[in-house]
Amino acid sequence: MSFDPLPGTLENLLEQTSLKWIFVGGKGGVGKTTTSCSLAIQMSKVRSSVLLISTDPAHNLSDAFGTKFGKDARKVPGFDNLSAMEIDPNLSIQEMTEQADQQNPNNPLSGMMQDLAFTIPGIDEALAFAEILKQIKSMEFDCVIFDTAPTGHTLRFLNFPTVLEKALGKLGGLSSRFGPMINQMGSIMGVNANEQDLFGKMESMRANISEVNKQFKNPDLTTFVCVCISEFLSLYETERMIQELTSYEIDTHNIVVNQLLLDPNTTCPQCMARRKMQQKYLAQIEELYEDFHVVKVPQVPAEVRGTEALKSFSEMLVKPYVYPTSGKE
Amino acid sequence: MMDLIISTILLSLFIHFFDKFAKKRTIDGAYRIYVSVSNNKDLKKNKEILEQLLTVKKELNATSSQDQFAKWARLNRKYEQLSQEWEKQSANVKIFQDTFKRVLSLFLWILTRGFRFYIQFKESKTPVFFLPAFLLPSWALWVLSLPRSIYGSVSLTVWNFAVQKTISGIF
Repeated sequence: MSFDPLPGTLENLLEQTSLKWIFVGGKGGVGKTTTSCSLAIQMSKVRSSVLLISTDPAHNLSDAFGTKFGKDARKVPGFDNLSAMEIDPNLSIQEMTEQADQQNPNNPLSGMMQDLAFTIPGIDEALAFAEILKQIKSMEFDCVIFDTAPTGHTLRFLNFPTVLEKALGKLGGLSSRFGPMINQMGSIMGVNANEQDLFGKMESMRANISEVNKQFKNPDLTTFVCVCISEFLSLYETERMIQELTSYEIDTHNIVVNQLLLDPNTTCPQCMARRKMQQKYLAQIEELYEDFHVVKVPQVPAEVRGTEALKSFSEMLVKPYVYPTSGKE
Repeated sequence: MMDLIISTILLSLFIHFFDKFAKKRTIDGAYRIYVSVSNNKDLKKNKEILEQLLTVKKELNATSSQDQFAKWARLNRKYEQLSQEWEKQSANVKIFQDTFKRVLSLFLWILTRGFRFYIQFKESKTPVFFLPAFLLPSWALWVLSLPRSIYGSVSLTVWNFAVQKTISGIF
């Protein structure tokens, strides 16, 4: 086996044609959205259809592409096979609740079941995720890229399938015990409480979640790209995230380090001091994550906004950046 | 007489302070010795893991997370892993440990109270001291001499009871 460090690019993601779910996450302010947009652009070159989803309440996608995106998938201007959407988990829960009430306004069980369900910790976010999965499943996308919220949310987000599966398992247990009683009470009260329908929905949702849970733990289908900058807090957060992902059995083997000062010829005292600090942590990153692809992305002079800027920026993810040596001319 | 008075006071004082301060230490010490000597695999493993845990913890504290993040992170991973392993392993050991300490506690209790009771029994006919007859009514004198001491005297049992109550109240 070769002892050379792995190539510092995301080319491995483009080559892995079996990938279906890609998560991009990290500390706030390190360039997650720019990285996920760039990755989506590169993926659209090798895949038939790509979906980019933002689950971050901050919703930076619209700003990055200069186009307004909503909760429905919309094509990114300039691309035929790249779509984007922004989802607010909180709103999804409200919509789901309202839908349930509208479908069966006379059902006395809906309120009770909702209250019961929401007592399970983490269930609200898990249901939001279920909503997202429902939408995605109906869209036949070849590859889905998630631009996730800052780390804390992301970790809870990724653990949803497991949490939800356990929760629904408990509810399933309740079904076999209380189902018959609920039916009798319903008939006595003269209300057609469609108990089978309710638990049936729960069970089918559970089956879906279980399937996705398996997919998330399959390194052929799912991977997580960590984005950070070469500073202590971001590095610490990345380490914490990688350990959490490992415990969730989610594959992760790519790290993108943004905002690097790579100009070897600079004479600016502040840049030199900052670069020295960055190099220290960069060395630590390479030592600690020797089995990761570590992509080094330099700090660019201009803001990375708009399709064209993102396209040129995305090239740095698949080809190592080489600083021009003729800077003085 | 006087010897008996002094020795019972000292014995009760000893028992009181032993229970209060030394008993727990004695039990913990005995448990540690037992773990060292014992061939029980679970106990040995638990002790080893704990030692490793403390070693890693010490090394972790000596490593600057900002200057040597790679080393610090590896130590932190190891520490977390050992922590979980030790907690899981401790669940097995804890039941035995609780049983061991409970039995030993009972044994020490029997040893201390038993010894005092033995002294009481052995010297039950010996009067601690006599009271003048005119101080108390005859029935009171009779009660104080229970169970087998001479009428008109205070028995060892009654005296020990008084001593214990006094010590409990004072300390």
